[in-house]
Amino acid sequence: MYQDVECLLRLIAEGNPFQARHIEKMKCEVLESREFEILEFLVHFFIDQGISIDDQAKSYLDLHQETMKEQLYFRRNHRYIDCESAYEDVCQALYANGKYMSSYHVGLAIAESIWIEHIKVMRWYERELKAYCTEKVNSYFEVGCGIGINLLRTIEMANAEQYRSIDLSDQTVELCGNLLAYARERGQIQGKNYSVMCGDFFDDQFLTGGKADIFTMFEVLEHVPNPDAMLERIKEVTTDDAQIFLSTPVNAPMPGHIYLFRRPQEVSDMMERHGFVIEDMIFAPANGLPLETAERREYPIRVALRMKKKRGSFESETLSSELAHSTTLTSGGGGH
Amino acid sequence: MTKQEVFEKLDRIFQDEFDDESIHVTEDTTANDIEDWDSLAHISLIAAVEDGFGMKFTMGEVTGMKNVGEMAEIILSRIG
Repeated sequence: MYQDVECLLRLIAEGNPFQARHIEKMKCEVLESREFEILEFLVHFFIDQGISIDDQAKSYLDLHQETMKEQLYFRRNHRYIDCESAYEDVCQALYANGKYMSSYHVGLAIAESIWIEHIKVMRWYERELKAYCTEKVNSYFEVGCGIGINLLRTIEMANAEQYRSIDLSDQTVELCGNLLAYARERGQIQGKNYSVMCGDFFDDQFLTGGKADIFTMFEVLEHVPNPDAMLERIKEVTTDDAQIFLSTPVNAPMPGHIYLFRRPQEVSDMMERHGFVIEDMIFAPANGLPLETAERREYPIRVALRMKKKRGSFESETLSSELAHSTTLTSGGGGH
Repeated sequence: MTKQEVFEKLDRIFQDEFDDESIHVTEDTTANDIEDWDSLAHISLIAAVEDGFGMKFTMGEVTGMKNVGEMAEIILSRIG
């Protein structure tokens, strides 16, 4: 079973001795059939897009190499490489760079399928969807579709009239559209009404389909210089009772990461400051390390939250007013 | 600094990084010999070694070194 997945994992292991150990551990201790199925779907989708398994492994290893470079910079300087870069420069270098993004998305999609912290968050998200999002609703809205795996997962599991997703990169949106079409051809999302658009989260055209009853924004906040405006915007595009899912990493240097959360508490504090009520929250340290170890060593920790909007928050209204005068920001195109 | 002194200092750095005072590295020690030595720990270790010896590795050296012996050679070549 999963012969092409095995082939991909073998190529990755051969390309990097650290990855060889990681993959062995993941195969023996972590990956379940659900994750193998998703990875197999991805591998076959990429082959369908003309990307060989060898090239898929290379894209992953290139991303891993870049991440190591970013991690070394972080260890030496205690900040991300792009922390002080102009946001427009980062966009130009990454999201508008078609050749780079092609490889980046392949590598990232594989990373998200074999990195334990991502797997933990996605398992949590699926559990939360099953528990809280089974009733029929009008609209699901996602910011930062990435390659579309999360959107596909949501379309399959949630019960919405329409599913909308936006991303900053033309190329990302095209790839996501292709992935959904590939899934549809295989009967996975027949009869579902979905759209993927390229654009700015702050553009009101995305409100024409109505406010979102279910909203997700995974791995986006770290891609923008000022997450506050993004959080205020979430309140504008969601219904009063919306289920809001969000994840962002702490101490996680990677290409395109700009905003640095140094502790998990900073994430939850920011959410509460903006008038969100946290209903559930999980921490997923890198490589499955204990949370205390990851915090002490400043290793990456994924923080994922399910939230609701606080009703009638004066503090939140004040922040909205203040932020109305702040610079408009766009969504992080690289996040999933 | 002699090679032996480099290894003695590396022992202390490795022990701190991996929270294990029983670790003693040799020329032939590799990541396979220390259970928690993954890519994340490797970068943390590299930064600690850089701090400890007051030198810097190139990225090629960071990803290319095969064992602690190679690490020690690079250190000796930098600090003289």
